[in-house]
Amino acid sequence: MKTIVIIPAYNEEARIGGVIRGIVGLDIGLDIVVVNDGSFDGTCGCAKTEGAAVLNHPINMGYGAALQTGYKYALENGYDIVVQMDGDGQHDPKYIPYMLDASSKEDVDVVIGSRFKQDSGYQAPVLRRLGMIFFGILVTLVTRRKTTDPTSGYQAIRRRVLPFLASEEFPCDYADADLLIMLYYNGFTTAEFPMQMYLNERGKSMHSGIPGNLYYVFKICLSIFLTVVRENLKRGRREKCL
Amino acid sequence: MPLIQKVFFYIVALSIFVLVLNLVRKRQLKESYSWLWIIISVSLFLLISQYSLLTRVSRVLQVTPSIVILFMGVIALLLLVLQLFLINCAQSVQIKNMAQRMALLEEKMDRDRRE
Repeated sequence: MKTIVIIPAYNEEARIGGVIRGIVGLDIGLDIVVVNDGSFDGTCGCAKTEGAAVLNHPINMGYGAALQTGYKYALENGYDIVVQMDGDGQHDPKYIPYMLDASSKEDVDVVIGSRFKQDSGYQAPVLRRLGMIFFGILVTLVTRRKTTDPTSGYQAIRRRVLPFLASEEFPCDYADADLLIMLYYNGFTTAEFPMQMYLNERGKSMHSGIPGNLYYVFKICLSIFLTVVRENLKRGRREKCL
Repeated sequence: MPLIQKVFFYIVALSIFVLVLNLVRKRQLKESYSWLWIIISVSLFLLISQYSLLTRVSRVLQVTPSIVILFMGVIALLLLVLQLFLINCAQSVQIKNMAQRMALLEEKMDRDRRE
């Protein structure tokens, strides 16, 4: 199966080389594409030196938009499976073969690497952990599937999901817990795979600062609420037609 | 309503209407963004013509007609701002899609050049 690894990256000159080498070192015939999201350091050059294809955004558009560019690339180039991972070294490439295996054996559309499915020793800051628990409960309630890590960006995705992810329905703002709910309502299956992740070396996340975190919580809650309402209205209309 | 006030507001409503049409004529304003302005100027014109309706509404709401006019003015401005936000959102999506398209094409060109 033709597989590609998508790595969104913003100013990851220091780390992107190591991430790519880790994937190449698996030696399982994976293609790699780095989506350079308007970096102003040498991310593009480093990625190209390591042999990855690079998609350069002319402006910084955020993690979600960068992921979507990768999905569009995978769709255009006929890939069967997409693995997405972070470019800052948090995600260990050694889990990729296991995720691909889980995807085919369990016939799952999206395999999500979970830091909390088993005790991996991952220590998130308290507030962030509370947020993850809160959104995990929300997703579990709506999808009726136990979700322990609703914000994990380490995923293996099958081709049939890509048209949905490449569409305007994909939440480019922050594609997290609300995306899992959208996948559920669009008939895609998800499953979690236990893994260990490392804390970002710089200690910075894309949700830095109080305003950033508050907006993130607000946006995800609003998105989840509206997704549930939208989908239930759609179902109601469909039942009326029948 | 005193005649002088009526004439003043008719002139204001007509001026907005003519200004907007002129901007559309000169292609400085697109038709798709002008409709709300046209509705506002026509509504203002009708409001002045049917002043008795305004006094009836203010009696029902137990406020003075000037409060009703102020409130309607605020609503009109909020609608204009909302229209701008909607346009802005649509354009953000277009910019995102264009930037993504550009990145994909640039990579394809690089690949073709290498081959």
